[in-house]
Formats: sequence, C-alpha cells, structure tokens
Amino acid sequence: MHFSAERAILNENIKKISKVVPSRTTMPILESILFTLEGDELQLRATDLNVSMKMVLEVDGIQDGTIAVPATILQQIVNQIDEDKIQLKSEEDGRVKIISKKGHYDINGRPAEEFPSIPVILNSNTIEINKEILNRMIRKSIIAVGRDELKPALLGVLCEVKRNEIKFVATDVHKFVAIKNTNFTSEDFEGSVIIPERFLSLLLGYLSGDGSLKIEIGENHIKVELDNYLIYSRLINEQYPDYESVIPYDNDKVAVIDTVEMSSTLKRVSIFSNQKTKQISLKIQKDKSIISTLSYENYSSAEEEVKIDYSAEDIELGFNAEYFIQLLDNIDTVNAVLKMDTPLSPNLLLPEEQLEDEELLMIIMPIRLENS
Amino acid sequence: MLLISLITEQTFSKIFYFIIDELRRSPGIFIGAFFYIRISEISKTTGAFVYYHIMKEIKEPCRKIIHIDMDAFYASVEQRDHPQYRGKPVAVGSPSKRGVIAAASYEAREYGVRSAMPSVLAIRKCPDLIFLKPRFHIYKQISVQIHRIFSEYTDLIEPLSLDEAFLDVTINKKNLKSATHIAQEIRDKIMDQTNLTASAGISINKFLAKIASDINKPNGMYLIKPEEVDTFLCELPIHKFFGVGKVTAQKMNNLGIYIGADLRRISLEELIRHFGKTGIYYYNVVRGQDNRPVEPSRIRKSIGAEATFYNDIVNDDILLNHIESISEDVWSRMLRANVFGKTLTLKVKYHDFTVNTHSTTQSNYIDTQEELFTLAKRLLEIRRFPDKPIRLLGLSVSNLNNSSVTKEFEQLCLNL
Repeated sequence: MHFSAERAILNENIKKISKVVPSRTTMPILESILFTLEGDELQLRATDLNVSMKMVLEVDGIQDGTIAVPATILQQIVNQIDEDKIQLKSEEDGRVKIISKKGHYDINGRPAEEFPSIPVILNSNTIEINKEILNRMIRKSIIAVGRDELKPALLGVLCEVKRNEIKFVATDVHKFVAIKNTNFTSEDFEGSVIIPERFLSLLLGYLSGDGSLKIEIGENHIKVELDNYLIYSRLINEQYPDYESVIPYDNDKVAVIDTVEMSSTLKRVSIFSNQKTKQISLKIQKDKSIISTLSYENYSSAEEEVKIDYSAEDIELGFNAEYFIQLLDNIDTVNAVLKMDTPLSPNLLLPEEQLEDEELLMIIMPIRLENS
Repeated sequence: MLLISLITEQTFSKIFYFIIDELRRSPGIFIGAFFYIRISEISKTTGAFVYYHIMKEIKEPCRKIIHIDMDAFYASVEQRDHPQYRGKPVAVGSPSKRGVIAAASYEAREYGVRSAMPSVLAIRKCPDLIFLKPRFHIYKQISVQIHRIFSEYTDLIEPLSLDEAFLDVTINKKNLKSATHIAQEIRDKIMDQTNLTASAGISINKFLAKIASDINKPNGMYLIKPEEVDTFLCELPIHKFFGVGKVTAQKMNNLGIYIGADLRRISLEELIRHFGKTGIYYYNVVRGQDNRPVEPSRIRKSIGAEATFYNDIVNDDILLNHIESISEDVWSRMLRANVFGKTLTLKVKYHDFTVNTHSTTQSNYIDTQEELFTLAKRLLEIRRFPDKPIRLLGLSVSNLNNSSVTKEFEQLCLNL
C-alpha cells in the first residue's frame, strides 16, 4: 500500500477514528487502525470489538494494499509533521513508512488478516431521527447509565421505538431518566433495543447541524451512516427490567423549586459534605427548604435555606447531592417539580412544563438518614 | 565545591562528625550544612556516605516513637455502651458458620478466643460467648477523637487501623522532653474523653515501640530506653519479633535460635541463605536498627489477593474453588485491616497473558464473607472468554471505608 495525502485531512480523521481504539485491550491488534487502499479511495477502520468505525477518504493512490498501523504512534507523528502532504507506504516485510519532505519514520505494521471483520447486520430496519432531538435525548439519558458489570442491561440506554414516538430510558438504580419525543415517525420498525453508552457518547460528536440521521437497527448490531463515516455497535442482548412499575406516579407531596437556585445551593453545600457519599439532608417545610450537610473528616458543615412552593406536611430526605445536581441540570425550565411520598421512597423530578412533543421524567432515590 | 570533591572521604568524615556534633548543640547549623551539601555537586559515593551518617548519627538514637494501642477496642466500646456485658466474654462479629471474630473482650480472651478466629472455633472454646454486631461508625468516631488527642502533640501520626497508631514525638508541639510523659498524658486524655483504656509503648523506633506496647497491656505502658535496647533485644523470645510467624519461628528454632542473642550470633550471609531478603531485616532488627519513618499519610486504597496457578485452568468447578479460597483470603485481610469496601474487582489473566478485569460496585459496603464470595462468583461467570484457560485469578476490594468517619447513610435503590 502506498499513497500520498493532505496531512491536515488525514490528521483530523485519524484523531476521530482513534476515539474508537481501546486504551487497554487484551488483543494487541485492536490498538491499530486498519488502512485499505483501492485506487484513490482510502478506507480506515478501528474497533474495540463492541464499537467499530469505518471512514472513507480521497487520497492520491500509488499502490493498492492493506495493513494495520499502530494508532497512537501514527496519530502523534501525523500531528507533529508540519508539512502539507505526507505519504504512507507499507513495505513487504510489514514495516510502515511515514514519509515527509524532511525524512521518514518507520514502525511495524500488523497483517490486515488479524483485524476483526466488519459485523454483519442481520434483519435490519432503518429509522430516521432529527439530529437535534437525538442529541438532546442522548445527553439527558446517558448521565443515568449504570456502571455495574453485574447488571449488564443497565450498562446501556434502552431505546423504545413506536410508530409515532421514540423513548430513551437509563438508570443505575439510584437515578432514572426517561425521555420521550413524539415528533417522530417510524415507517417499518417498532421495538426496543439496549444501546451501549460508549456508542452513544461517541455519536454525540457527530450530531451538530440540522437535518436527520438514519439509524440501522439489526438483531445484534446498530449502525449509523454519516457522510463518509460509518459507526457500528454491538447491542446489549439483555432483558431490560420493567421500569414502568417503579415510577411513583402517585407521589402527592409536591414541591416546586427554582431549578438553578437549588442546583447551585447543592453545589455549594456539598463542598462540605463527605467527599465520597456527597450526602446532604433536605428538609422541606411550608414554602421553604433547608439543605444541610455535616462531615467529620474535615470537621465541616454547611446549611442554606431556599424558598420553594410547598404546602403539604413537613418531610426530611437524604440525597447524594451529585445525583440531584445531575438531574436538576437536565431540566431546562425555570422551575422543577419534586414529587415525594415518604423519606425512603423514590422521588419524581420533572420540569414544570414539558416541551412540545417531549416528555422528560426522572427519579432520584433518597439515602436513608439516621433518624428515618 | 571543588574542594569537597577533592578531599578524601576520610577527611570528609572528620568534617562531618564535626557538623554532627555542632548539630547536637544547635540545629540551625545543621540546616545550613545540609543545604550546603545539597547544593554542592559532590560525588554519589560521598552522597551515600553523608546519608548513611545522617541516618546513623542523627535519626536512630534521637528518635522518640510512641505506639498507642487501644485495649480490645471494639469489644471495650460495646462493654462501655452496654453495661450488661461488662465482665462477660464478649466478641464482636457474626456467630454464623463462616463468621470470623473481629474483636474479643479480655474475659473472652481468657478462654482462648482471639480476633480473626473463626466463630465456630471461638464458640467451642467459650460456649457462653456473647456475639455483638459491629457498630463501625461508632468506632470511627472514637478513632477521630483519639486522633485529635494525638495531634495536640505531633503531626507525625501513622494510623495502623482505627485503634492503633505510631507517633513520632522527637520534636513535639508542647516541647516536652519526655516521651513517657507524653504517652501518659495521651492515655489519661483518652480515658477522660472516651472512657476507654489504651496501652502505650515508647522507644527509639517503630519496631521496638510496638513490642513495648504489648508488655504491660491492658491499660499500661512500657519504655525501652536507648541504653536498654541491646539487653532487651537479646533476651526477647524469637516469636515476639515482628514478622516472625509460627513457621519462621519453627525454622529458627531448628537453627538453634530461641532468643534475640541467638539470632545475633548468625551472620548476615547465613541469614540471607536461610531466609532470603527477609534475612537482612532480621539482621538489622535484632540490632535495634529500624529506620522506617512514621508516615502520616498511609491510607490504604484497596485490599486484595491473587493466585497464579501451576497449570492453566479451564474447569469451572476448580476455578470456583480457587475463587472461594481467594475470597476467604481477601476477607481475612479486610478483617485484619478493619476495612470494608464497596467495589469488588476480579482480575483474570488468561494463558496467553491477556488480562481482563471485571468489577461491581454495591451501594453499601460489602461486609459479609458470603456477599464477597457471591459477587466474586458472579464476576467470574461474566468473564469475557469463558473457554480460555486461566493462569491467574485475583480479587480486590476498593472504595474503602477507611477514609470516612462520617456515618455513611445507605443509598436506596430502585426496586428493578
């Protein structure tokens, strides 16, 4: 393989595809990017076995061929060379030469045959979604994705597709986010899949601008096609738990709070809380709330009062401030609505008014305070 | 500068001893001298020589180390708070089949009950043993109280666990000359403020201070004076030396070593031949040489164990046996260090040396052996390559409860 390319374009694309390259892996081949040249068309591929990316670039082809090149070193040198054009050439002995006017840099490539093949997507259906809506739904849901490998279903976002709505659900069992959009039509797919968090956060980098995006959903994989990029991911083949039954629709102690004020109060108070648990107490009384914390580690404590709209009986709840802040920051309206029941039951957190075509619903689990 | 590199090390040593002498009279000169040595580009050998003499001449004989050890801490706290258990054999821990004793009261110790002993064995030794659930947040709060007392005297405090710490009081905040006096004050204050007793050991290094605190335990203290160190060590039975367990003690007995004096007669070479690198440690320690400083910031981040197999293993049952024994090992280490953790990580090294880790984080501390084993088993089940032979398995617990003193409230979970 031998070609000449614009350094800036190659650099930008290598940077993009390197995001897929795993930093720690059990298979050394995955630390490389696969280069395949046919005529003037250069194809780059990277994968961590779950998420894969493929891109196609125009270059000046000299000799067709294919080889896997170590990603980190390649990215560093292409980034450092200060010339407009560079060449990449693979030798018969498996060495790869990066050639600039000033000299050449050689590294060992790996045979292309070792590189995992592109996943085959079986029985796929395509949905089309507005980029802005998708961006919003991903951003708001991924903050609640679980990290516990013993609960594999929760490691992704549940995506439920109906004819006229799409819904994302994520939870780590301490916080829960469900976001639904009805400005959506699916022609030929209805069903639900669990999409890995890594794929969605990677996708976030490609959702700027207007227009819509086609997503292909197969039995085991999902694929997104963007201009000259293809991003694939394995789906999480697990049963997502029945979340509907745990949503506390009947909570009747309703407090209306100023979203930004509450969030910034929590940010200040939690500086003085136990740094690991971020535990704070929230005392809710008629039209006011008292947020306080105490930590023996730094002999620190803090207390603030925030005005709220509340008329039911007094209640005191414990929370992990970090979770509460994350969820509050998801709310775009001036006020948020917190619906409570007992100090030990799930709490609903909603925007005061839903956006047109959208429904955002969140749950925060309390922590058990000493006296509860 | 040039002058120093030109003079011989012998001459240098004479100058150096002069500096040391001056230092004893006035520490200011020392700082000046030290700075002078630092900035001068003296040769490496000279540097090592200087360092050796600083350690030998200054650090060793001058240090005043106190080891404070609360008496039967968890059990005493329970007896303090529950008068009905005073004077009775009490153990903190679970009486379950696989349970282990975390602490035993002095009454229970009379029956031979010891900490880290399996509960089943403890019940056999003392059928009337009263089992109490540990209340770690209370122990933690007391630990903070005690720590605050220590910090009235020095900031060089090295906690070994909730109930044990080393203090370096060579230079102390109250300018007290006598370390014995300080130890007595600390013990009095602990009694006043917590109504619990502590024992103390005072000597010139950590090794000796720790041995000393055990001598008049409970509720006592002991000083090993610099001039008594030699005699003390020579008469000390070999199993009392820190790091000498049953197996090593037996091995030493076989070599005719029963007390410190016997150990001293053995040459360094011979000790290395029999005990490897540890031989150097025995050689130094029996001569009262223990340079380890009191390190204030030694907070453990994780606790774990691993096992490499002689033959690579694929069989699930055999792997399960191994993971069970590794988790037992980790559990006993957790008990010994008095820590629990929220995160469990399994490390799997396959026959081709590829390594995978899998982890799970619980909302509460993993505080029973059963839970630890169950989680470990489940992590093993979800490993990436179930068919590849395995070379090594390891378990470690992190996210430990040793840094926080505040009672951590239970994070509730959605019922999914």
